Amino acid sequence: MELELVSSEKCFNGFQKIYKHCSKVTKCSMKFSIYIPQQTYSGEKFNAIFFLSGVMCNEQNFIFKTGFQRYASRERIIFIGPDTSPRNVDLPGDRDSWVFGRSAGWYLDSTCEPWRKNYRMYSYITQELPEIIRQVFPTTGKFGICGHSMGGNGAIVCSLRNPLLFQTLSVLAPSCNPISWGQEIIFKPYLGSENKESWNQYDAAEVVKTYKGPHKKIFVDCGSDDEYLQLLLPDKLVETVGLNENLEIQLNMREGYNHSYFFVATFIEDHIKYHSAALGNQ
Amino acid sequence: MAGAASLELVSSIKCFNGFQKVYKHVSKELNCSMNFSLYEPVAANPNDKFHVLFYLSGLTCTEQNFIQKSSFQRFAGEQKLIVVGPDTSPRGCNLPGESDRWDFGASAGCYLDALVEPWSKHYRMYSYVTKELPALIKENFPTTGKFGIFGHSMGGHGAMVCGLRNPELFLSISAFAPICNPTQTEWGKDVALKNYLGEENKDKWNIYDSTELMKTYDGPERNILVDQGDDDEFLKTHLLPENLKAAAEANPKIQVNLRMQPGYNHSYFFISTFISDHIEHHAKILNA
Repeated sequence: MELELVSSEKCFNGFQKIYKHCSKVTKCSMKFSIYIPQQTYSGEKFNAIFFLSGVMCNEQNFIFKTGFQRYASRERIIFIGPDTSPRNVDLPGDRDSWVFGRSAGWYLDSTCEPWRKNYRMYSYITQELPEIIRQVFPTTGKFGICGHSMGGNGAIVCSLRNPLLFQTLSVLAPSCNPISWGQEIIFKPYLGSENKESWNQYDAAEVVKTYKGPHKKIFVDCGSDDEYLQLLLPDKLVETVGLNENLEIQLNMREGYNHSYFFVATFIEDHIKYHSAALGNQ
Repeated sequence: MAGAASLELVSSIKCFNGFQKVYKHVSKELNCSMNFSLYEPVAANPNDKFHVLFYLSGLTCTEQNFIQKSSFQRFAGEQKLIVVGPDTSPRGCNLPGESDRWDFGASAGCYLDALVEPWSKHYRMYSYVTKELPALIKENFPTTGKFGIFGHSMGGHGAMVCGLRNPELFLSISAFAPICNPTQTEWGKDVALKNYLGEENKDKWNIYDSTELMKTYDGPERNILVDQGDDDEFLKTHLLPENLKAAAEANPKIQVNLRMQPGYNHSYFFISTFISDHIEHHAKILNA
């Protein structure tokens, strides 16, 4: 596996980097961002957080618009920001909707043509990328996962289905139950009507219902003025978690905040501190 | 509260307890519609008034880049400062050649008042920043009347020029990777100053060069913070901070704290790393 360094810029003493590689899973060139705090001694290793972004984003938005590096540097945590879909893969219909196709991979493995060859973001996030990170970067091997919006759904799905891989979980304005509104525009084209039972494994609230793994907490922030609140359905997540004794949830509804990166920037410090404390000493 | 006749609220988004707003208005100086950003911290009391910081952005920017990429709002909120971010040039004027270069014309107003046609009718960013916008802010927002000014790159140049030439208005000055001595750079001599001001007006170039201004400055004492990355791709061609430092050292009225930051480049990653220090610098002076 070969990584190409696209850029490296100093930020809060550490380095904000972007890498490019040819993904075996998505079968195309993919970029990811990685923030690495300054090593204070040779051989120092860091815990790592994956941050999954929302629809219409790529690997750039999070690193420029949240100011997270200040807190990642202080808490000494590596942050990885994958892209939100395969890139430079032109498929018919991949730009027809802002919630489907390019920049809207929904962190699932598609089983339908023409998407199934490249749109395998679930395997990318849960298998290929963690392995790359472990091999190449100074990590302890302990990972957490965080996400915004579509990335919130992705973070919950990836963490609950891989609880030993992504040990800590937090989300901002997560899409909690996309199956309730996205059957025609997301699940059917990616996964097919004949596979409806397979849709649940990519929906946060549905995955919560069947979770039987180690006890886990989901730390959630959501703006009370979020323009997408009717689609995000955080109450559904609270309801389903409440019925599962293996899970607990802390939902902070933030008065007056919307869905934007201004909201993410305001609360990202709390999330980083949460992961840092929960992942423990490195 | 904004005066309904003069300002139109474009957006208002909660951020670190305050509100990141963008306003639009028709500028008399620039003869066009202009946007500016304004961060308003949360008021503990209805009659609270705030000191104001102007932030001037660099080449290619609009009023959006700084508010999205620098993460300043946390510190403006903590220090209880209103932060105003004007655009970098007039907009929608459709002048010939205005979009030919990234370093001249649209998004490159250089915070000067042009003397040459066709720029002179619209490209009056110096007067906009030092006269029209401060008056607008005082009239429409809960300010103490005390202002500071800072900026990045071309905006660092603008902040120092506007600050040095208007010491009663801008009480505090700081800059990130500023263009310090444009009359000594190719960009200044062959592009910006030449095309905006004209070769026939070379005697009027120095008033837009902060190094030259420092040589002759005789106003109240100034304490200016400048952060500069030593890995900045524009350091030797455009910025020339060593010239600024030399001019300041020769003038007892001016203290320049030039901090060369090892490994940092020209980007918003550099600005966001040091923004809290700058806001603290201004707060100390404005609160005194």
